[in-house]
Amino acid sequence: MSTHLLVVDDSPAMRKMITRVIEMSGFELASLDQASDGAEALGILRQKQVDLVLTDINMPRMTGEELLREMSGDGVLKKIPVVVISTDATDARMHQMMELGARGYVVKPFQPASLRNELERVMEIAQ
Amino acid sequence: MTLTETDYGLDAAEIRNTLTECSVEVLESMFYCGVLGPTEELDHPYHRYAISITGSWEGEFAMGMTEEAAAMLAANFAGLDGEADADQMAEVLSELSNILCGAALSRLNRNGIFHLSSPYALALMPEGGHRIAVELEEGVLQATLRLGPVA
Repeated sequence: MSTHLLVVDDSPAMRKMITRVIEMSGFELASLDQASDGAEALGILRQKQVDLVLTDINMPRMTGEELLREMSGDGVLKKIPVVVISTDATDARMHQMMELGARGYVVKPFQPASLRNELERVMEIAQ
Repeated sequence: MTLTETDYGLDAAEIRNTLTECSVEVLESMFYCGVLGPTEELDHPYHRYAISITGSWEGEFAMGMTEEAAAMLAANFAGLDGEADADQMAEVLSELSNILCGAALSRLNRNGIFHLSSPYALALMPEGGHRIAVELEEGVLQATLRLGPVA
């Protein structure tokens, strides 16, 4: 099944890199939207179909942590699986994000295959 | 550099080894760049970025590199056939400094919670701290981590 994916990262270079890696990996995409922070992501989530969110944590205006809190408090949005992608590989941060409702976690630096595998794993469980 | 009370009990060699390991892993896995090995430090790196660290630890991470290294890394990361322009280069080098800093801190303190500032350009590399430099296929990358309150 093809996935409507939303990539959230404040770095334009990182968004482009992630987009390229996902498109080249063979992950089945129906669409791919981008947002530069949690607030922009919420706007897209409330307007368009999104099956999966891939979000950074450390962003201005609204962080990934705040985005997860907003989504978990919304009856509709809390059903959309979220995968966190971050340079922060500390146990404390991973635990915190999973407690907030993240279904997966990808640590930068990552291998393209590991990103695809994590997205597919989370989508399989969600279905 | 000798161990000081500002290093949160870490050994200086451990900090430098971690910086080197992270640099190799990040550059090879996400920037498609081979690392030839440690090298002499750069006196005056052309591109310089820093990140302020708060949270479980305080400090500052800084990264500098030669023009050749910056051009190659920016083109590789952005998937460009030609050369990156100045804006693309700044975006990519900011992201590289963010990834390097986050990876190093996560390995040095797995139980910490860190808050990293947005990367900012530096006029000069900071004095002090734990410094490493690696030779790339093209150019040199230098990284510095200073732990403890920054004046």
